[in-house]
Amino acid sequence: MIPIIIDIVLRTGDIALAAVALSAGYSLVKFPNIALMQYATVGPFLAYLFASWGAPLVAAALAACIAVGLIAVLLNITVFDRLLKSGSAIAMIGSLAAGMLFTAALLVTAGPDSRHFDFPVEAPLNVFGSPVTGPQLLAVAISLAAFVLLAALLFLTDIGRCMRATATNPDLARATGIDARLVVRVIIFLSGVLAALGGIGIAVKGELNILMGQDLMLPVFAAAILGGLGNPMGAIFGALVIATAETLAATLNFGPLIGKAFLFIPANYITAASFLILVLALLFRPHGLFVNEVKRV
Amino acid sequence: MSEFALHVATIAALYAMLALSLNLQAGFAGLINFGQIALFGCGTYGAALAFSHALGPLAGFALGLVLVVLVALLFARLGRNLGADYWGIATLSIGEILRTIATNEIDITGGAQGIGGIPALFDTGSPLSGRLILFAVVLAALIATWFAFRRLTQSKFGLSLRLLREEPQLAAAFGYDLDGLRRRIMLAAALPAALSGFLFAHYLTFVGPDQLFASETFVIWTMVVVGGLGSHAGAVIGAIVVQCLFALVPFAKDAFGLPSEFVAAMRLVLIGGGLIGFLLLRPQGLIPERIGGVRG
Amino acid sequence: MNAPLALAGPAPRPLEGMIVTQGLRAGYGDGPDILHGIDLAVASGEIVTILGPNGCGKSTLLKTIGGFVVPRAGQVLIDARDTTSVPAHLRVREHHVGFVPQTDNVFATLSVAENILLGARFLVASQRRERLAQIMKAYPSLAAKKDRRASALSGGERQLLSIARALIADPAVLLLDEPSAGLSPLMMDEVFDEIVCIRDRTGMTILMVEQNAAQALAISDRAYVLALGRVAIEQRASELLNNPELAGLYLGAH
Repeated sequence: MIPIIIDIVLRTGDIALAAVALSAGYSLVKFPNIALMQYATVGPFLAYLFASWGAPLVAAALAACIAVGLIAVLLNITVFDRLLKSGSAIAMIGSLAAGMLFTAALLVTAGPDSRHFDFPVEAPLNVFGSPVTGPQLLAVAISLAAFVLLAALLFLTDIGRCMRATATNPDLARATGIDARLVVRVIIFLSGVLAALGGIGIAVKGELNILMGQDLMLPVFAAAILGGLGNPMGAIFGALVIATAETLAATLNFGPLIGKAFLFIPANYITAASFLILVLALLFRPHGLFVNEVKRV
Repeated sequence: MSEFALHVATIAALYAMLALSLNLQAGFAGLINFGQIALFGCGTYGAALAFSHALGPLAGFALGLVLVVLVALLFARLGRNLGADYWGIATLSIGEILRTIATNEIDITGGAQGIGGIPALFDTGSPLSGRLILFAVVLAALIATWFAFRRLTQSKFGLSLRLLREEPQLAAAFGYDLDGLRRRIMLAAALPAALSGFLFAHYLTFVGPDQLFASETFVIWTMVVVGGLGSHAGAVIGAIVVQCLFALVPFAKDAFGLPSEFVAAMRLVLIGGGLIGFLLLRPQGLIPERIGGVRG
Repeated sequence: MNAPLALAGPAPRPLEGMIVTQGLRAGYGDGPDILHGIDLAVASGEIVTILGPNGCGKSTLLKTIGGFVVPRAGQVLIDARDTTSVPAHLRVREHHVGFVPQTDNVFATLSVAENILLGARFLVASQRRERLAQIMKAYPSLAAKKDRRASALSGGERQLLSIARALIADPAVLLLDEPSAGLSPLMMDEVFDEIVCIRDRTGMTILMVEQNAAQALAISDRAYVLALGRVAIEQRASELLNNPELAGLYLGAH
């Protein structure tokens, strides 16, 4: 049981930050930004680059997150804001295209090979009888810290209150003296930072390669949609659901269900679990688990 | 060299059919299909599965049709309560699920290795003449699709498509059956996509899951956006332009002595850059949609 | 179309007042002009109502004064300072304009207290606390529900909340877009009473758009009647109710 829970927590950490970023961005800029998946790839590559210049890992990661946040704001001003005038679907296609350009840039500059961050090899720690490596703990700590900080920002600070107010009612926000455009930029910056941080979390406990973002895309969308797009805290819950489903699909023996001794879902199908949940969610709960109304058309 | 030109022309024509199909959905009806390649895959695997079960090409075509009708109806059903962007994500996921199945059901689909050795449709003794005949057939299929879609969009049905795109709520208020409309569009668009896949399988003689990557869908998207959303001629010209550019990439790589990553990167730049560039700077595409082309 | 009655004259005098618009022309997007040169003046401490049939541009006029619509020509002056090109959120902060929109006028997912505090976020902390205490005292019904979500309030309470949110910043000018829309008759009386109360208490300048002409005129000093984007009548509120032309404008018989 404990190893399953550890797997679920680790996988939740992988998905949740990018899902929160997607949902937070959507709360103010109403289109699903596919380029976020590439922010989660570019982030660890930049951190790796800065670290290779001799920066300590924390500083490298921080600088990478800020750089990605700025890229996100810049892209939003120059590309997505303009495309959004033609509709959310067009903006989504544009974000996908922007993602391809990131992949192309990484392909040419970093190449297709996988890398990993240099950590001194240490014996794994013992957590309730199960081995957990230091980098894995670090990744979970990064996610937890990010969630706590984000929640504190949203619910305890003035800018957080302005973000929630602007997401609820942008016109009224302006009538209340809130600079809605500035708030949008702050949240886009944050979504870039969170996505980059999510990518860095994945990279420190495994490896980084240019396909990270692509592999992340459907699980992240599934998590964000389950939590209700536009509800960042819901996205964490969505990530937990997806991670649980994936982990259980990988470890449970379904044999007794059909009267056989053993039946395991083939490993290759496990990634499809989140796709399937996504399709089911879209069929039955397109606005997330927490909303009852179904929007038609 | 002429054989290479024939190859490029055949592939371009096959993609033009896919682009016409996507354009009918996205350009006319506003259905943002990110799983277009799955419709194509129904055609390729129809041909391949018929071959591996020692059935003739006719059975392969029939199998492809059955598969594509099922997928198209599933897509249409998903569209019932989803906005355009959500539907795009849903179709993308279904495409990925189908690709996962194709990769993993090794006993049926040959897994990642795919199914090879599918015979050419026209065995004339010389491979070149066989390919020429196939190209003629592809061209005829393309022209037939183009003609049929033009008639479709100039009819009253075409008007209801645009109403579905522009004012779905209004269309529903006018008494249009949106579910039925979506179903009919998806079926109409699915047929040429599957036909393109079927011909592709017999042309390349090999079918595999790598042909069904989501990125292939976005190649088709680039063709439609470059050509002009909502314009049949645009879709065809977009397909030709993008395929010709793709064909030039390896030459550019050799001419400048660039590393092999360059080919993959350049393809991504062409697709991504083409999409963003046209959406930002020329959203109407090379051949803009004609307003009011309905004859009643 | 009749010439504007009160403003017709050989040489238009320069307008004076807390809120002044001169030759205001405005519209949306690429669309046609909705306002065709509006001259309006509201004196300090006055309650003025803008009336007119649907589509006459009264709501557009209020939004242009609030900064939500950028005029194509003309000027908006608040307290004699030109604010024509000042964005809406800066008009609230720097020119002391309070704006209460017609519908969707609360932050539904935020608590009642958060709604009110958002209106005061640019005040210094000590001032903010003081103002919040005053507002809570003035609106005990809101104070009782300060930790509830705004979406749980009734229509009348939402209107009061929106007014409280605007008042906490202590604006010099209060713009109200159809404050009685969608309210029960009882709630309507309460909201109109509250508007008078605010003016008497603070001397605030109040400009509102209303459909409910009789009740709005009962509490107003003066009124403008718009028709087809122009000022058709400008008159003392007490006299306007007896003006036969008013009914004509509403019935489209002018």
